[in-house]
Order: sequence, then structure tokens, then C-alpha cells
Amino acid sequence: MHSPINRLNRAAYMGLLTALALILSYIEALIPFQPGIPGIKIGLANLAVLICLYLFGWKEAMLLTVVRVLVGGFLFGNLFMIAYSLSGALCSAVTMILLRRSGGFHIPVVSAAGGVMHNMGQLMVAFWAVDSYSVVYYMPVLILSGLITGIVIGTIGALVLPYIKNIVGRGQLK
Amino acid sequence: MNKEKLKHDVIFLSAVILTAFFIWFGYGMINKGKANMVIVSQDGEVVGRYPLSEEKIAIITYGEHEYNLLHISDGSVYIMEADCPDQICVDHKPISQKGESIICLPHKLAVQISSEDMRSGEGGIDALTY
Repeated sequence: MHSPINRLNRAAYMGLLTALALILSYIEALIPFQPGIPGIKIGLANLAVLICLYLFGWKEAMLLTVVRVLVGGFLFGNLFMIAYSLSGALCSAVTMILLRRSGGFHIPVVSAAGGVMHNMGQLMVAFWAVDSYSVVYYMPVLILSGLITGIVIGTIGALVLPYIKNIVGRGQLK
Repeated sequence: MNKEKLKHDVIFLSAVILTAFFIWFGYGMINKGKANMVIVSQDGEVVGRYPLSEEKIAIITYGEHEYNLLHISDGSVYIMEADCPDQICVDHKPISQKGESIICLPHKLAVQISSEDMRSGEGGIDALTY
């Protein structure tokens, strides 16, 4: 399992997934979708993390999460945005890792939980930043939006995963 | 589709939706009553209180040069203009109900609608008004 060639292989796929996550962040930034509520996003980049989690495991998923937020933040955002999205992305990643490990849920639901926790993590930073209970006003709509976008992303992931698994399996040098 | 998993899925999703509904309901219950004040806070400190009935444009400054332009008219408030990077506050729909708020994260600004005694506060200390 951990032969040097396998590790190289994995590194190459991790590079691909990181690039995929960054491209998805970029595409999302291009889509004019601005509902005027802080934190509502489609969360396309989460697709790469989800695929990584089911393809390789929790360590790789965590690594991808941190790398994509840092690199994406420096490319498209600022330091505040990094703190803001890192809290959301980490909450989401940890939730998805735990739910996947529990083995009791289908991929779209794991992704939905990740989406909800992503928004809750961001809301925590928002609460800390503005220091006002008025952020609670956004909680229900953020929970529901995270749920819906998470299910959509998770469904795409579940549909795509078998094919990617097939390719990765064939690409391994024996 | 695994039946057992599907059961877990449904339970989980219903629990999340119910939670969202309860928070929404609870927040509505807490904020019952007539809205008459606009409370502006920055970094947790109240920097301005304005009656909702008054026609007003207020500038809330952030740091040296940054600002949010607040417009109060016809019992509702919205941000006319701001130089924050994301412009989420500017895109927010006007708010008029008690408990509603507009948040500008980059400027640590929260504009909230509340109800309180008209005499309890005057114009903001740090906010320039005209």
C-alpha cells in the first residue's frame, strides 16, 4: 500500500485535486450569485475535498482543505477572508470526516452536513468580528442554504466518484 | 441504496431542518413587538441610534477612510454605499422588522432594528450625521 511509487502516485493526484479545488473557487467567484446574505455560497471547492476524502482518507482531506484555503485566499482574497473561510472549511472538513467514519450516511448527506457546518463556522467568526447577537438572524437561512448546496455538491460527488476511483485504480503503476 | 443508511439520512436531514426552523421561530418570538429604532454597532460597540421613522442618511466611518452610508426612510433601512471589498451589505435588501439586521463583516458593522425608549439615546458619538 505504501510503496514509494504509490506515494508518488498519491502526491500527483493530490496536486490535481488541489488544482481542481482552486479552479472551482475561481469559477465560483466568476458566477454572479450575490444574495446579499454574508456566507451564502455554492461551495464548489468542497467537491474536491469530498472526492479527496472518499478517495484517499481524512489526512489528505485535511491537508487539501488547509492548502486550498491558504492558496485560494492569497490568490483571490485577503487575510481576513482567509480566517473567515478557514474556520468554515475546517468545521466542514472535520464534520465530513467524522460522518464518513461513522459509515452511517450516504455521500450527499455527509456533504450536506459539511455545508451546514461550513456556514456555522463562518458565522462563529462573524459573531466574533461584529460582536453582536444580530448574527443569529442569519442562522436559519445559513443552515438551510448549507444543507441545499451541500446536497447538490454531494450528489455530484457521489455520481463522479466511481469513475474517478476507476481511473485512479488503473493509473497505479504495478 | 442501503436502507439503514437511508434511515439515518432522513433522520439527520429532518433534525437539521427542524433546528433551523426552531431558531427562526425562537428568534421571531424574542423579537416580537414594534420596531422603532435603528441600532448601529461596530466591533460590538453601539455607535449610533436613530429613530426608524425619521428620514436620514448617516455615514458610519471605519478606520481612517472607510465608510458605510446608511439610509433610513419609510420605516426601513439599507446601506446605500460602502467601500468594503465584498459589497454584501450594499446588496442586502432593506430591513424593517424588529430583529432583522444588515452586517458588513469587513467593517465589523452590524445595523440592527430594535424597539426601545425613544429618549434613551441620542445620535451616535462616532457617527457623523447630517
